[in-house]
Amino acid sequence: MLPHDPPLTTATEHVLLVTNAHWVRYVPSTIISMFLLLMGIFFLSLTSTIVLLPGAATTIYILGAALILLAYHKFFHMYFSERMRTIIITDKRVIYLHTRLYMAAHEHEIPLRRIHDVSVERIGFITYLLNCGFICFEAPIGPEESVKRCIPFVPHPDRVGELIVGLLPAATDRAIMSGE
Amino acid sequence: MSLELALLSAVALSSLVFAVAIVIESRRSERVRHAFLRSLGAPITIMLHGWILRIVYLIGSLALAVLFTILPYVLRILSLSDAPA
Repeated sequence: MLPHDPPLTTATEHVLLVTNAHWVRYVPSTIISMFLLLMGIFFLSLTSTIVLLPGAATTIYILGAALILLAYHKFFHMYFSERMRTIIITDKRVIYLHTRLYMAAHEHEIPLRRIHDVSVERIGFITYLLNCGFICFEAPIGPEESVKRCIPFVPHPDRVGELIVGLLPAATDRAIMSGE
Repeated sequence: MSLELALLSAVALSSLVFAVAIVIESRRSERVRHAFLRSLGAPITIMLHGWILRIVYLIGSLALAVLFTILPYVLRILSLSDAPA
């Protein structure tokens, strides 16, 4: 669903955007898994070529097999975890869901009425090339203190940022009207 | 040597159990996410490739477990057949 699509209505709030994080989130773990896999294959290939130290062959074989298993499970664990990373924008809040299977489950919820500043951050050439970035929110937690929270791997961050900025005055007005 | 290889077989088979656990947990997380999206009234798209990759993951885990259990014995037989009489 894109920002220009008609909003979906529920009794309390309108969902304006539901998107998965950018596919670039898969890349770092995939590179690590590939490296482990290559190391494992290298050790397994050593097993058949070792002639001088036959006693070491079993140890190297076990090491190679363990590395291949580790790479394989690490890749799929990452994939099944990362595909749950979701960004939801409603007219009242921004919700960011992120899960790491059997390790962590995060659900960040940022009410729009508490957001004072929205910034889009892109770091590096790759983020410009792939059109992804961070969206950061600044919210006051005291008279002179504020906290900054960021959502990583946002696809089309400029468009998403504009959508949130466009919602800010409306959210503040609604909060004033309802006395929140 | 046989003890070490038995240990490796145990690791390979337990990795298969790990794969089943990951698939179950992944499905459970997806259902929780869908329920949350449904409660907001957001659209839910069921991705076929998610199921395909789950099946691929399970078949691959089984293949690796079998491979790493059998391969040492195959290598040993091959090395024995290569040995000079």
